[in-house]
Amino acid sequence: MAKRPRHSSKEIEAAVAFAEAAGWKWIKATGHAWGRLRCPFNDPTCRCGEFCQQSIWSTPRNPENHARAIRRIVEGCARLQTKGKE
Amino acid sequence: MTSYEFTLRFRLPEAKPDPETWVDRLYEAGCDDATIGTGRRGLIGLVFARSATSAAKAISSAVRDVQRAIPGAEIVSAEPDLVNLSDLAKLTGFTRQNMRKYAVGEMQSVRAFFPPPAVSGPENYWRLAEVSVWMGVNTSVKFEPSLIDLAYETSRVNLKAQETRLRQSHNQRAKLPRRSPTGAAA
Repeated sequence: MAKRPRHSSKEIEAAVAFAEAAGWKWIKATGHAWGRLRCPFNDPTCRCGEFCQQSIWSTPRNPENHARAIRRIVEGCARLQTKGKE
Repeated sequence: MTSYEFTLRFRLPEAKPDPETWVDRLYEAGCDDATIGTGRRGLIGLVFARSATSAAKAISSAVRDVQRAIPGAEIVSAEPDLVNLSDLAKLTGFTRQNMRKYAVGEMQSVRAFFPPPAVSGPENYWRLAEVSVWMGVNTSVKFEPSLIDLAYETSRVNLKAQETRLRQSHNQRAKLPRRSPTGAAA
């Protein structure tokens, strides 16, 4: 399997690594997006809905804010939260 | 300038329901301060961290940017708005049990009635806009003024969007048969 490229922002790179450690898959993207992250559960009834797949910018306005949002979406995953409670 | 963090969800036009096709246009329309969720066909979600002089301006400029990028996109919802006891416990630093005491009026020290839930059911949901003000008036918990303003604006967006959808849905009742064929609703 080909390795994904590193993101040029260290905050975003760390957030993507955090998502991958939680089971999210990185997918290549084109245009302004550097890549996409896809939730491991792929559950159509999940209440995260739209955010089961998130788009990662190459050059967001503020890399730190973008990195924080990426982490928060991963942490907010309803399935992961349920798993944690069991 | 204050940075406001909020989520907006939009319904995409029926002719182009694949959210991925809109991502580049959103970037170019000024949504490079949003993290975009593309996990649902027909919908798109944006988590904004937007700097503005007020919560109202942060939200209205974000909606404008999205609708410029996606002509015909309809706002579905805005967050933060509805919160449950766990959310409130996280926001206030109280335990969930303590937060529940406030909500059901078991807190001896507070006389004022807690705001009624916006949604009642197996799990109740409150408007953060109402609870944040109530907590500020009746307890030692003080929410950031920018969060109180933001929650007020997101609530307004949601109430307006819900009223529009309700009206559109109700207007379709003309398509229904005048009487239920099963006779169930006699």
